[in-house]
Amino acid sequence: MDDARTTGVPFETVLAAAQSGAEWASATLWREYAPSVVGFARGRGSKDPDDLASEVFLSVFDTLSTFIGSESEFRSFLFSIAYRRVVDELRQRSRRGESVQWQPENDLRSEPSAEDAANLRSSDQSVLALFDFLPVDQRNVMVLRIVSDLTIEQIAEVLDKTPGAVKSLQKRALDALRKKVLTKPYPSRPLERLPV
Amino acid sequence: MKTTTISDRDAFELAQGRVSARPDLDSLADLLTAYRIAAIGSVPQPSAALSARVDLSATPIAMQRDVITDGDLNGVATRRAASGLLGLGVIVAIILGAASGAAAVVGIGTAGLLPPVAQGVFDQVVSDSEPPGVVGEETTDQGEAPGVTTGGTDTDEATDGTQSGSTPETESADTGVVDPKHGNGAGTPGKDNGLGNSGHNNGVGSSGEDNGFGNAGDNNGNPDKDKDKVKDKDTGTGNPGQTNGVGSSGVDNGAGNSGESNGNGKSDKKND
Repeated sequence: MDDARTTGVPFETVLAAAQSGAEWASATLWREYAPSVVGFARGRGSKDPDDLASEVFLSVFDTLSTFIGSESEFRSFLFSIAYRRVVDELRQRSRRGESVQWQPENDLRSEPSAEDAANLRSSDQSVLALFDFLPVDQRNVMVLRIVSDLTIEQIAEVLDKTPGAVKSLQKRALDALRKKVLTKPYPSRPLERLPV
Repeated sequence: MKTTTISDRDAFELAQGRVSARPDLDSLADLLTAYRIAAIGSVPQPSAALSARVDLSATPIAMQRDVITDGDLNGVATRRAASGLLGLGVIVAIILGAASGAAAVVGIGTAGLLPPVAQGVFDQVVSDSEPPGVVGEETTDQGEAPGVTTGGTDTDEATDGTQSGSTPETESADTGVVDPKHGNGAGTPGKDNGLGNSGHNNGVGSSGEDNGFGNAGDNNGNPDKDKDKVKDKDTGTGNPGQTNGVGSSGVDNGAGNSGESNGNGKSDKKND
């Protein structure tokens, strides 16, 4: 991507201006890349993706003056910071435990109503839970691939793995997803009648 | 159900949200597309810390781009100049827009193309707000036949009137004797009082200007105030021809109230 998506200004120009402190350029970077960072954080289970994205961009603006590279390298640079932030958050939560305010609809001891269950299945929460059954490494690869729109090489750089390892993780994740999708919720044969 | 393995190409196309020649992967492609849409929302709200550091509402415009591309990227002055030009551009755009709109309305109104009601309001506003200089010019232009003489003598008359217009008596004397043109401009009774007072105003020194605004007519509309003067002026109308020339052209044309003013001028002629 040579040009910023919405402004049409070449990325090199935006980057140079942002490095010199031009606020319009920093705002352009925020508008272009913040939604992907939020999506990545949300897909990886961050509790407050918007706040995490702000922290990521504060770090980016702090170190932007030393960055040298193209747009794809900037994406790797950006999501490397985002990935580290997400890992830090998940690590802190696992260490301290997680305190959640009680809400009746989230109480596992009660069964949701049929309406609530239907709404949950059709909601974004249900869709975002698509990768939850995957191992952490495969989930990282899939989120970075689908949401952050990174290439195999960029993901390898972010996760500090080889491209071959990333490609293998992606393949296994897609196979698992396909099996899950192909699993029919109803039995293929009609149920036999129980003897009366 | 027979399944085939997912190749690297298939994986690439799945990540892009499409799979060609693999109908068995369509449902998976749809699911990944739904995941992408659900995960990526709109631009988030920045935190307070980030907002305090960077104004994320700033937008790039071509002017800024040119300034920053051509200029020194590392200078604080360049950044300030760019932001200043941005602000100036917005203000100038607003001013230009308002000015062009006003010019369009004035142009249409001047051409008399507005609806009748709007045209009436426009005429009223224009007649009330016309600057004295413009009125004076119109006086000179319109009073070509009799008024040319008057326009040429207005200044002198004003000067004379200023000297002699300090007291009503002097005015009367001026009107009647020294400069019959002014006083005689009010030669007609009734409305002529207005014209007579305009002659008086000319004598005070505002000559064509006062007449142009028609203030003289208002004051003169009070017969109690102007009766004596009128009489004096009427008396002073020794030269009906000059009187009409001064009264009609100076007052009427300057006032710009074409209908009424011209009526006054005509009435002068009738009186003749």
